[in-house]
Amino acid sequence: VIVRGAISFVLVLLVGLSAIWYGTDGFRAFTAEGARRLAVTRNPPLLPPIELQDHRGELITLDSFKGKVILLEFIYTRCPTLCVALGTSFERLHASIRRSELREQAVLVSLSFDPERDGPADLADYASRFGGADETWHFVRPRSVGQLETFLRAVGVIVLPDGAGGFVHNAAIHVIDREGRLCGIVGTDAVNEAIVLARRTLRGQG
Amino acid sequence: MRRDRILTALVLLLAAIAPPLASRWKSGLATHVLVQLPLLVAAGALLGAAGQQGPAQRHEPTTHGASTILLTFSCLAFWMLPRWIDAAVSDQRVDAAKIVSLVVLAGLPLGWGWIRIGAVIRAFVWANAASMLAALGLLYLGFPERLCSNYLVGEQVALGRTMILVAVFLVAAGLVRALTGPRRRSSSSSAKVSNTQVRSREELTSPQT
Repeated sequence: VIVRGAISFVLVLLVGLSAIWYGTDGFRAFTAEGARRLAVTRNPPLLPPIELQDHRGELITLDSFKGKVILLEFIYTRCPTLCVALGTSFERLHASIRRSELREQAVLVSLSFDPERDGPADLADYASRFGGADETWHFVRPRSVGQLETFLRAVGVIVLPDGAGGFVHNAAIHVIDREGRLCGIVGTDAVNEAIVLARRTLRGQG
Repeated sequence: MRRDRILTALVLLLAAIAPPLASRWKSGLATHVLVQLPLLVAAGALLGAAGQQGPAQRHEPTTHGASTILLTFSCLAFWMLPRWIDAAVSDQRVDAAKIVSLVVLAGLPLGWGWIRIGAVIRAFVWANAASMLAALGLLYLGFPERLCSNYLVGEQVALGRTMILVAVFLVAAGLVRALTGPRRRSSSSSAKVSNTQVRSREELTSPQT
């Protein structure tokens, strides 16, 4: 009886551990954010098209950056905390891209997920806080909420109201390759990692 | 007794998954983990215990008891991973899988196993549940980042606090139980009860082969 009990115990233990192994990608992704970052490195998803308006009011699409690597962040201009940290990272990214050979091959895009409140003027104001927009760094808002929602879902970003008029979201630096596939996601302060990833993406795609 | 258990189980199940209540539970991390998940497990446990009454129906006591409780723990552990808490909020199919598996793979075996295991394993399981909850609670309280994309940091802290409270309650209840001994049942069934108690004590002390 004890032997049978032990056998069933070990069997259940194995089944339980395999379920958790499977459910965490081999104990590597315990959070949805970890899973999202891991998933895009394995199978970079092609992002849906999104029509944008930049800080000057000009209409563009994300596709217009095709052929370059895009480093994308999500923002809302009234953000007091997280976006400022992310913006500082992007400021550093901006500086190091401008200094390097990436200048011709990479762009930075700060995309507002609050298009109703963030008009071109707000975006321009926000841009000036980080040294202003140029041909490398673009500050944009989506033109349709429907497209924004589809896009956020494809990227895996969840935006929650924080209860005080602002938003909370899983912030990160998103790396999009020349063909428009999301191929890497790194933490908000992983500036060097983002640069390495951009270089590797460019090298991989000739 | 049996019908009561089945009815109570259905009520608990309804309380867990009826649309307005379910969305109420899932709107907060603490209620998602500490109300909805336990309701589902409890519903399954009552169903698992529904068929078992007298000692006559106790087949192979304690043989697979520990395994069934382990199954409950594994299933609960899976659905308490931040990643799958998130997935259950974001994806209805995952939520359905959560509901079915917590009732069938966590609840049923718990109910089936709990009446078969002896006092020592029961105490072990109880103490383990308390210490795991306390450890998880501290982890959630002190974690510097947001663990769930669908919940705010404040809810994470609330979950941590509540987990520690529940752990304290489990320890207190366990202590009271340990100091007062097994609860006396109503006099009408006392003969039967004392009979089973003797039996389960024998099961505990005699080596099983």
